[in-house]
Amino acid sequence: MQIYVHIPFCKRKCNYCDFCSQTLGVEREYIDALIEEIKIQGQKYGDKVVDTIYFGGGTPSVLQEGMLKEIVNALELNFNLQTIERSIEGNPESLTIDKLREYRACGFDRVSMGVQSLDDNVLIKAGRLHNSKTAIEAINNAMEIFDNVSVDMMIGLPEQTMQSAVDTAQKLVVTGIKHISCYALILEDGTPLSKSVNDGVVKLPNEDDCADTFDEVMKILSSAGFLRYEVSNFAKCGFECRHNLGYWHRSEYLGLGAAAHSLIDNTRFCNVSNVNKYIESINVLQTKNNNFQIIKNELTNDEISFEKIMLGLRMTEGIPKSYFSGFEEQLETYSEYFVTNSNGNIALTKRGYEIMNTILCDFIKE
Amino acid sequence: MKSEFIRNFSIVAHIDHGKSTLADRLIQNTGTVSVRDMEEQLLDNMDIERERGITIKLQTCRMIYNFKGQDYILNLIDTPGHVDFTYEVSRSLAACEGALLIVDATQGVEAQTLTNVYLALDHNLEIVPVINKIDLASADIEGVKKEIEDVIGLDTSEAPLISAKEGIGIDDVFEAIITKLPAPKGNREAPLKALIFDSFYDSYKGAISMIRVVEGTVKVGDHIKMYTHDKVFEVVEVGYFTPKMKPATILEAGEVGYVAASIKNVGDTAVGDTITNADYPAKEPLPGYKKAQPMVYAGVFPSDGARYNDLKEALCKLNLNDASLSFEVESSLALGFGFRCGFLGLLHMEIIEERLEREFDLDLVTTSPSVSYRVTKNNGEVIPVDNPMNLPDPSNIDFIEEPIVKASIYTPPEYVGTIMELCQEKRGIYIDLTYLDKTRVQLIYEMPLNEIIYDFFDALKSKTRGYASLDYEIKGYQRSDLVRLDILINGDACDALSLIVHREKAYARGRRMAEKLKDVIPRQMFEVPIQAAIGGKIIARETVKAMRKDVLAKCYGGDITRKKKLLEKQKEGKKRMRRVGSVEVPSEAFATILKFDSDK
Repeated sequence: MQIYVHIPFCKRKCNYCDFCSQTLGVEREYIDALIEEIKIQGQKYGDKVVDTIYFGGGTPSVLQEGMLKEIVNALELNFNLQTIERSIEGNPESLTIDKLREYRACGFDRVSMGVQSLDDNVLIKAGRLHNSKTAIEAINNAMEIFDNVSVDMMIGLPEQTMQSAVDTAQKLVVTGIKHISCYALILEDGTPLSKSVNDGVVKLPNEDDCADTFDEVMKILSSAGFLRYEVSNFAKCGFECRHNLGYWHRSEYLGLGAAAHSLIDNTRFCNVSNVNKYIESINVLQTKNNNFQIIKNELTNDEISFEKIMLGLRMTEGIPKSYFSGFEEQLETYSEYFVTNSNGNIALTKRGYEIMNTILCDFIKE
Repeated sequence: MKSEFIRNFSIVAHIDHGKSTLADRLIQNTGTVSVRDMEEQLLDNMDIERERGITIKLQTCRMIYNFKGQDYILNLIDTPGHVDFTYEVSRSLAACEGALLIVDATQGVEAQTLTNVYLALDHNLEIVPVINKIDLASADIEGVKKEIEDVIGLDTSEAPLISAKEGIGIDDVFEAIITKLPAPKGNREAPLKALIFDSFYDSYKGAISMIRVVEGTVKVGDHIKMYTHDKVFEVVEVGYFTPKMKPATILEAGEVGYVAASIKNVGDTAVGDTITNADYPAKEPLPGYKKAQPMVYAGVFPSDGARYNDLKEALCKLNLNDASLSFEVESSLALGFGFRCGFLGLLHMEIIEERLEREFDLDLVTTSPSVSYRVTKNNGEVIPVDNPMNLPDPSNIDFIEEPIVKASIYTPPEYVGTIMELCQEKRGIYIDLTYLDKTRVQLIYEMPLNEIIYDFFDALKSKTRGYASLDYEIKGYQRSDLVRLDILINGDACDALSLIVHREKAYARGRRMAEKLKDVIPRQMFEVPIQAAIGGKIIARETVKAMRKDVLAKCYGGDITRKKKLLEKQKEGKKRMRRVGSVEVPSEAFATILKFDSDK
């Protein structure tokens, strides 16, 4: 089983973000509630062997030193941890050497940093709090303490030209990091950025430019030894993120904290996403022993079959042909977008990745 | 009531000259409807009609008015006032002996004033001119009287001067109706002859025939039969309109009312048919009406193919109350199964579409409106073609003829230049220009009907700030250099988008359609060429680039449920698309293309 812990706090919200996160304020109460949840869930799932842990957010690194240790301790006490990977996310401006050391001491062996771009102009327009200098510093700091460092970059940001993105990629690949995630910006409804775009105040690169830029960046990553192992994830050999691979392999995972999702026993469920409501619900639970999960969904066989394909095809390693049983017609229709790997698995071609959604739609059973 | 005390009349006028308002007043003044129940413009009882300020439906109302101590029955048959509905007007006129011709004192004689007068004269009706809106500051009573006398030739010395809105002069109208319009003739002892001038479907009583009894009588229990078929029905109810249905014991020659005879099938009470008594039938039927000629055709398809039967039912129901709507089954590769419908004109088409959408909750895709062409093939055969897809191969065609109309346009002189330009642009040929008076010019142009049906009326109104009015009538057919413009999407011809156009116009039209389609067709998995073609020759080309990115960039533990839903939604969206060969096109795209104006 894998464990995910959500830390929904950020110094400031980026204008394109629609994740569950808010500014600091109630972190003490939150951590108390989180630890309670760990105790409760530990009762249920304590005997499953936990092989990966991931602390995501928000920005986990905004928490004060010491707070993270509390959470990790609670996990150690209540679950059967035999981890091969413990990741934590952070942002350059809050990943100080001291924090990094603390994380190492807690048992984290991988750090993932949200850099997005090394172009100062682009960073300001995106509402990020660091600049390229502090980003490089943070990367170097991280590499002093951790062997396994990952960086997120984005393309399609406001005013980000192809040259700018290419530049960022070129700089990143020579830092010595082992893993790069590259995402195209997704304009989410309700974010300040989407409003600016709709009002015509901000212009985003168009579909064709973004696609061309992504292609160029991929070339750079690939020639520097960062092999694509998933739609948006690239890593040097052996440094793929095991926790995330677990999602695409449909391993069981338990989500802890506000908005956290879980997949146990082919049932998907999640916690309430409003931070205050989450804190309340845990407190109520102590006294009333209710089930605080919302949206519980026992997956049908058809849903499971579809998920195996939808998630499995994200990985370049592909999926066994047996996963396609019942979908022979679709395999035939889209045969030009599939390829058989050396290991016998079926995977998508580069073009197949580009239009994956259209292909997947046909795999949804009525 | 003796025939001599009955008057059957219609009110005819150009749009907005006050026909409906006067009808309201007449009904109100005779106390037919209580003040409480009176709703403004009572007789326009459809929402669409109210919204557009026009009348579509015929309504009938019996009123009782006491004149010099004698009660009279006055049967008002309401009529629509738009150029499209000439046929509807003629049906109601056939049930009358006379008509009130209303002329707006501030506007004078206008296009439909004349059309309606000619129609009334065709039916040998006695016409009483009535001058309305005399209370307005810009009213020119003497000027309008003179105009009526000069242009129409009616004596206006005793014409009632009224303001329907303010209720002035209404009694004069009643007096004119009673003293100037003839009473109906007809022998009540003779065998029954009743003309069906309209019908509608009542969910409890079945098909109701609205009739004018010409000879004889009809009452409950009688066995009646229609001349066009020999089915016999037993009369369950007779009555008249107030305007709601009010049962009576008997309807006699000279009267107007309705018959309910448990007629289940709409088709059994055909408008124009004669009803007679099955036991004592009349020897001959009454002269029938001219069958309405559709001027404009369009393919009407349900957006959701599964609702084909709903559309069929809806059209049948509308047809009962609208004999001028014609339709037959049509199928399109792109749009599936639907109907080719014939309409009296563009307004008629828009109203039917709106009624289908509103009253029957149907989501529709309609093809571009087209007219009926006459094609002479090389082997001498002459065939009518109203669906572009039925045009024979050009190599088999000797020549094509298109319907030409005589368009009469009435306008203030300052717009004459603009209007002439517009008509020329629409392949019009100048015929005549007459100054009716200082402020009004009558322009006559001969123009192809297919240039008028689309947006000519709107362009005319907008270029003249609403002052111009239009009337047209079919003049005949004329040879033209017409071709079929086809649209190919990824090499496959899309039948729903084909058009018959004049060769000179084809290039520009084809280019514009290709441009518009390029914007409206979503990117596909591959590049899609869009071509406009005449015969085999490509005259315009645009390209829809292939989709570059359609992928979920992020999909981690917390995203999976949400992203699955997104994909499901995407799949639902794809289901509603139309397929043109291998290309998916949303229904909205068709609607946009088919409605876009070729000359804007």
